[in-house]
Amino acid sequence: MKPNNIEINATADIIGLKYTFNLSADEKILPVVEVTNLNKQYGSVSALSGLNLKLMPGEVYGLLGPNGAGKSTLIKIIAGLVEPSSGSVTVMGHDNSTDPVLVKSKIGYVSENSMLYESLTPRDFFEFVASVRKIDLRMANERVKRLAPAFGLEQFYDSPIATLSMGTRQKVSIIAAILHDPSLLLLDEPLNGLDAKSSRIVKDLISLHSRKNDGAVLFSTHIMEVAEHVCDRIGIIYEGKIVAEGSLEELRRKASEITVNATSGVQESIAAATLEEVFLKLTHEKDDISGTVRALRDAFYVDR
Amino acid sequence: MKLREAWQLAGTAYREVAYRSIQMSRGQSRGYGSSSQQEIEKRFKTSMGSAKTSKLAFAVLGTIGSAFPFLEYTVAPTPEALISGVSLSLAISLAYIVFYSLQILPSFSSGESYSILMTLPVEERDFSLVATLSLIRTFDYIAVSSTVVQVLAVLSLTRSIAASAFMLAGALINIVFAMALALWFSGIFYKNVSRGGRSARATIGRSLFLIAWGVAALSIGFIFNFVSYLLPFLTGAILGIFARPTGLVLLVLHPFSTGFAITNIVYPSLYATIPLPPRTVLLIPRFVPPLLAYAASFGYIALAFVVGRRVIGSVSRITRGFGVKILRPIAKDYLLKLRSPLQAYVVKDLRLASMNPSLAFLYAAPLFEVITLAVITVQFPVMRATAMIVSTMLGCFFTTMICSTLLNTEGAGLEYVMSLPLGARTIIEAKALLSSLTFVPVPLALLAIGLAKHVPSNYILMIPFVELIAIGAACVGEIAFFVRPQGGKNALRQSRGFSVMAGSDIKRLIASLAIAFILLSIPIGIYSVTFIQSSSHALSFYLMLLTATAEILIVLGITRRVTR
Repeated sequence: MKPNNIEINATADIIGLKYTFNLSADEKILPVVEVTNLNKQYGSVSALSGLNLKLMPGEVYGLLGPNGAGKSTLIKIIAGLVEPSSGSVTVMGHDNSTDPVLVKSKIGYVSENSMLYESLTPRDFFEFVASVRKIDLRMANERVKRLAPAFGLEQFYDSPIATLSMGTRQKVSIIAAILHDPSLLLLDEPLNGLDAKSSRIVKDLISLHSRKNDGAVLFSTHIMEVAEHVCDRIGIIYEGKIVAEGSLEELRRKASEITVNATSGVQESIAAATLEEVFLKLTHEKDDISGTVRALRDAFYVDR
Repeated sequence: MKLREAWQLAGTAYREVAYRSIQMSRGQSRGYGSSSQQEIEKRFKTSMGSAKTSKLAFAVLGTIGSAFPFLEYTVAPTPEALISGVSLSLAISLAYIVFYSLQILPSFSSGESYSILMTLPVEERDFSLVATLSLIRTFDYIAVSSTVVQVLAVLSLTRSIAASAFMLAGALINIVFAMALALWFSGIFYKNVSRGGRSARATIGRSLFLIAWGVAALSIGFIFNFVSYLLPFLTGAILGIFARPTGLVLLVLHPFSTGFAITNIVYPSLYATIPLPPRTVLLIPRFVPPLLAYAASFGYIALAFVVGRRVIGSVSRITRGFGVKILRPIAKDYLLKLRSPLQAYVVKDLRLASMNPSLAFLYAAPLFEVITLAVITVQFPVMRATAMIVSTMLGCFFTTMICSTLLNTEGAGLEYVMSLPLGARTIIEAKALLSSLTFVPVPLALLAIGLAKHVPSNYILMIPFVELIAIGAACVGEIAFFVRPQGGKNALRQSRGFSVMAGSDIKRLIASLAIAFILLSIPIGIYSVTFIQSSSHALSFYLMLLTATAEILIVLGITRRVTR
């Protein structure tokens, strides 16, 4: 997160797209996203319970959590795709329950499984998205002209999305999400299926986007290394709640508070732990892993 | 692998093919995005349930369709009625098998449904067997029920074992041909939708294919009328067979060859007793036609073996992923063409429909409406207001059917649309606009027809044009039942901004159609009542225009207020 008492004026260039950021700290800074006491029930299952989250301008927030922890649900609620059971979400000060269209105009969203119109080609799809978002024609063409070849879409540009691989669909989804230069980027597992070059471009885009004026990025990932290097702040979500958040150092401190091994009673060293170890500790999954490994060993590798 | 094992395994492969076809036809992608596990399971069950219902419904229709042509023979047992009964019964079952299979087979052509099976240690021969059986399972109900009906019909009507055996052979040949045709068509369809490209040739080819496919799909319900057209034609062909050798062509064409062969068995002296027309020379010896029919029938049996082997080969090739070659044309430019959100939505729906066989009717409907109206109005020497109103309402009927079905274009893309800054109003208006556009050819066609006939008043010609305004109101009203600013019970997807209600909600569907019908009937009713009272077409027209305009303004006003 950027400190509040400085002024940043700079321009950066990534794959030919100019990003200008200008952050002045004199005025009171409004959070880009503010989630208050959010709950979501799917029948008897509670996907989110009393979740609170605040993202400030210039921040890259990584959501980590086991499968089914509520990462995607949280992102979809912020994007306005899912109605919460209770609680509120504001984006740039606008409540997404009263002003959903305005809120959506400020968001760029990439879903975890690239839910696109499969019969359209990437060109048709970009035309549709840019038209609905009322992007200036010159700007839309300029951005697509640079982004499509950068992501290697030359030979897929006029092929139906249904015939594209998962990674290529993901690239289409990412380009569509950033076409309108949104204030908030919501990325649900954005690196799914991407090749090394495209992953690198996306990681650079995330960093650059957050530095842009008012910009913030909220993304979920399973790749600890990416979260460790790209995020300013990491939130660990578990059973619908954020159980810990902060920088990697802060998370290590938090994890060290609960490192007394339940079975041995011995204090474990966490000072140099990786994010993966901290994550497993905070989500209480380390013991599960030991159990699973034991079961696998017994099933396949023990001489009978 | 035992046949029973292969049949069971084929059932699993068939379910995957059927499920993927439903996903494909509804434009759905992998998973269901924002849905909970329970919702996903519910939708999966619904999809599989509708696949089974559709298969059963087609089997029932196919059975009725196969039995129907024999009705004429039960009333008047003539050789012509038997030929037309057998031939038409085979033609109808062939059409139903091909049509139903085409709903399923586009996903078969992609070969993806078999990718899991390929990872299992199954021998190539067994794999081909399972794939072929899974293809047969696509239409097994229709094939079995229609074959049983055909054989039983011939047996009960002719009491001839030989004729029934011939019927069984003809039905089996028919199934093989239907399978080959369906596979070929689905290959064309899959190639059309998956090869992409922006060349004019590809676009025109795709459009023509979809129009042809859509018209064929819409015509399937009218197949029962063919008996009345075919019978006189067949009678003429048989009676004139010795005078006009063109009649011989029918003898060698499937399924007529089977019809003629069976009739020869039941009426062995048929050709010996046909009188020669006066002043005609016997060009063909009298023993030739029956011989030709038998030869053709046996020829078709041999051909069915060859075709069957090729089908098995194709099935094996497709399921192994060597089916359709997908072209990847390199983009020459990256230029986008931007429109207003409303226009963009309409264009998007048109593009989606152009790639989806179940939505091809969107392109074919205008053509189909015009053809139907032309056929109906041809019998009216004078185009009175009543004839014009009936024709207009028929066009309206097609359009109201299109409205609710247009919701199916969204599929998985709906989740993406929900993340865009769009409100319910844009979606309602875009879909209503597109539906209304399919009605546009109706007033134009009726104008042309009216001008070619005598019309008591030129105001009558304007009735369908005014009804175009009412169509707009009706479509907005109808779609507003399904796209709403807030969700509620039976919502298919709910989001902040707009929600889409399930199209399978029968009560909602009936209510929406009722509203549409009322909105369409009011202007027509005003015209009729005013004319009865005043006998003035001019006054009736102006009052109708006023009502339709008021209607659309009120409907749009309410929609905009509700969706603000």
